[in-house]
Amino acid sequence: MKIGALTTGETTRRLASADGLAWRAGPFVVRLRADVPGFAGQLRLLYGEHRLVETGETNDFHLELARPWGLRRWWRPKVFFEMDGPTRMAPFPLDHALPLFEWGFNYAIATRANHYLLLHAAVVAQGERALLLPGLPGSGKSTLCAALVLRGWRLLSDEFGLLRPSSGLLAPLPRSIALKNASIAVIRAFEPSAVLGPEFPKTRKGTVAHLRPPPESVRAQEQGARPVWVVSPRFEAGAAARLVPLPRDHGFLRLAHNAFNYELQGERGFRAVTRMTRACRFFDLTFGDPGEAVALLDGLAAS
Amino acid sequence: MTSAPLPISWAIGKDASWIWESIENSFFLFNPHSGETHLLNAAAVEMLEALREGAASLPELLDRLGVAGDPAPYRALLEELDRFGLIVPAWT
Amino acid sequence: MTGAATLLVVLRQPERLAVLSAPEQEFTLRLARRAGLLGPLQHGLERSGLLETLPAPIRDGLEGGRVVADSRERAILWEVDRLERAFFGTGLPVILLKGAAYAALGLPLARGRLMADIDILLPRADLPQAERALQKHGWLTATSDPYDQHYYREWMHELPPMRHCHRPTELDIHHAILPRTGRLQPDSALLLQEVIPLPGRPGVWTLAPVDMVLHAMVQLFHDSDFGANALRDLLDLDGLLRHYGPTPGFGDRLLARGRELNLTAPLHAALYFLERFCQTPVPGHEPPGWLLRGLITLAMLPDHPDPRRDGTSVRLARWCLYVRSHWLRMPPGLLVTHLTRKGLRRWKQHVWHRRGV
Repeated sequence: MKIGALTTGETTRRLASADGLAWRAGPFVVRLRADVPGFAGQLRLLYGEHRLVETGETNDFHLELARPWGLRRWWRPKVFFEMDGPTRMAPFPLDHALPLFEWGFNYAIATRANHYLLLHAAVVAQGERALLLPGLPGSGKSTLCAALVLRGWRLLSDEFGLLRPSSGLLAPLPRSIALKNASIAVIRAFEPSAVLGPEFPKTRKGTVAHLRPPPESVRAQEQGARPVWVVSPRFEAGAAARLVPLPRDHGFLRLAHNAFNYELQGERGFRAVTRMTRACRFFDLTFGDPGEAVALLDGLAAS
Repeated sequence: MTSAPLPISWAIGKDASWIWESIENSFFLFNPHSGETHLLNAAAVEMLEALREGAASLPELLDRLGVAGDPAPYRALLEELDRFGLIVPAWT
Repeated sequence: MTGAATLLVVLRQPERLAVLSAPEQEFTLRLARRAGLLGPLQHGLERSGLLETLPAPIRDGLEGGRVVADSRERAILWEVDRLERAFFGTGLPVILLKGAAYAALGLPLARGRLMADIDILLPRADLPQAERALQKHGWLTATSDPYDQHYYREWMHELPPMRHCHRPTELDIHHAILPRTGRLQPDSALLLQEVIPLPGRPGVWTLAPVDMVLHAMVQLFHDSDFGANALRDLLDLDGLLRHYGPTPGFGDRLLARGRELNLTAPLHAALYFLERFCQTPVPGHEPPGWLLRGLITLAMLPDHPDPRRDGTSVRLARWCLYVRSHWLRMPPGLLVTHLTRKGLRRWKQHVWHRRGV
């Protein structure tokens, strides 16, 4: 059964219950408890296609959006992200529970999922062949990722390349794509039928709105993909899209610098990056218009 | 770090388990003891190769490498390799 | 059986995890994570060949913990290597304490043990020379706060922590195993007389096995923040006694050394708790008074993963032991200043670290 099959009322009730609501997100089972008004509807919009997991199955994460007792429950109310108890994340205003959850889930993965080499990259695929878009904030990574999945690429993740060192495969984790500031309007113009959640102004990263993951990507979330292309995007207003190949030794450095937990992985991190470097082609991509960038990458995949 | 007198000779650190990969024109060395990955240029690779023959002083190394002339860049290279823990000083 | 008791059983006999129900397995995993014990658990299960029988989330959680523990062990052993280098030609010994010593000796208890810092011991007279050698090789004092500097130098049994400018591991340099101001003052000279060279590593030393046990015991009772690492400290002691205990005459030497170093009371208390919690084979001892017994029994429990179910009594017991550990270390006047300072800092706003581990 999918989350979307529950009514909003039922979702609210389950989220607030002692056991919370559990679902499968890529390789993880996440169990979330939240007693936050309005949150269930937003969760259903972004995670509607995700499969519910019944109580009794083993979970990877126990997360909670916790409201404090005392003054902060009523006056400028706050909400805290918890994972097996308090975390180091600063609280958000109560009506920003959704962005808090999305960032909190990222934090959970970044701190816990060290059985993966965690690449800080958006990942999309054509069939089993994956394209990684590593990028710093502001590079246009999420915008490009959104444009690609709106034109038929399969979404693996907007945030994490989860590379299993033993297999060399990337595990999909299709969730919403967090669009920030100007890129919200860019994507709305690019694809008027795109389904976005509410806009959250004045977050840590400015205004944020979440693009719903394509349902077919969520249904394919158990099919891994092998890394084939690594394209580092750089948004430049008005620039013509340009794809420039990079030598592999540069590629190695890109990947090693890009992984959150490269040092932590030790020898297997080195071996995984080496293997991936030898299997991939590396490019720099400058673009001003997402449509042009998508056309170039479609061409790359067809070649 | 440069003010101290250099010890008499240098030896390869615990090298048995270093992992080397050559990718295009670069040498990547993973040191499992430190968990660090080093990108080495050709000069550093030659220096480490020369030290594999056994511990040696700077003049001996220059001899092995067939270098005549200013030893200063080689001294600096040794100090850098020392700083990364790839070579260790040894009294002879 | 409570969660904590299950965790202790499973750490000793990993095969018992496989027969637990799925929710019990998951709860044990969460407790182990809280107590920083995923690494030893993963090692134990790997040795018994049971990893593949576990559900994927359990296996993955354990593997993630193992990766972190292995990287910390690697970092600590590399610091040992770098200390050897920094002290090269100075004549200063690298005398390893606690986790670094267990790892360098390859003791079974070091497998998967989560290590944060590296601790070394030096004669007090050698500290200035050591500090100079370290600074020359890139170590910096980690705190610039003048109060901290003063506090460490004036009252503590260690220098302000140092850290190499390119590496994250903190180095604690001790000249004694308890603060200068505390009531108990084990004589460091006695410890230094008995240090043992690490095989194949000239210049690197560890304490004698009986002294390692006594130091681990001091760690358990006298260091602050009781609770966070109490279970791990207890397991250190358990591991040491299981490893060295069978050596003929070890128990008698331990008790005699405890008397010599003026540590009889805490030693007997530790032996009591080891027998009780870990079924460790220990030499004869007197049980501690009822109050300490009660407080420690409560405080030894790892944090409940669901904080709303963590009892007030557990927190109170921890607070009492925290105060007690400071009382053992400092004159009362100082205690108030220091607890207040530390207390204030706890209120500082936490920030979010993207790479936080």
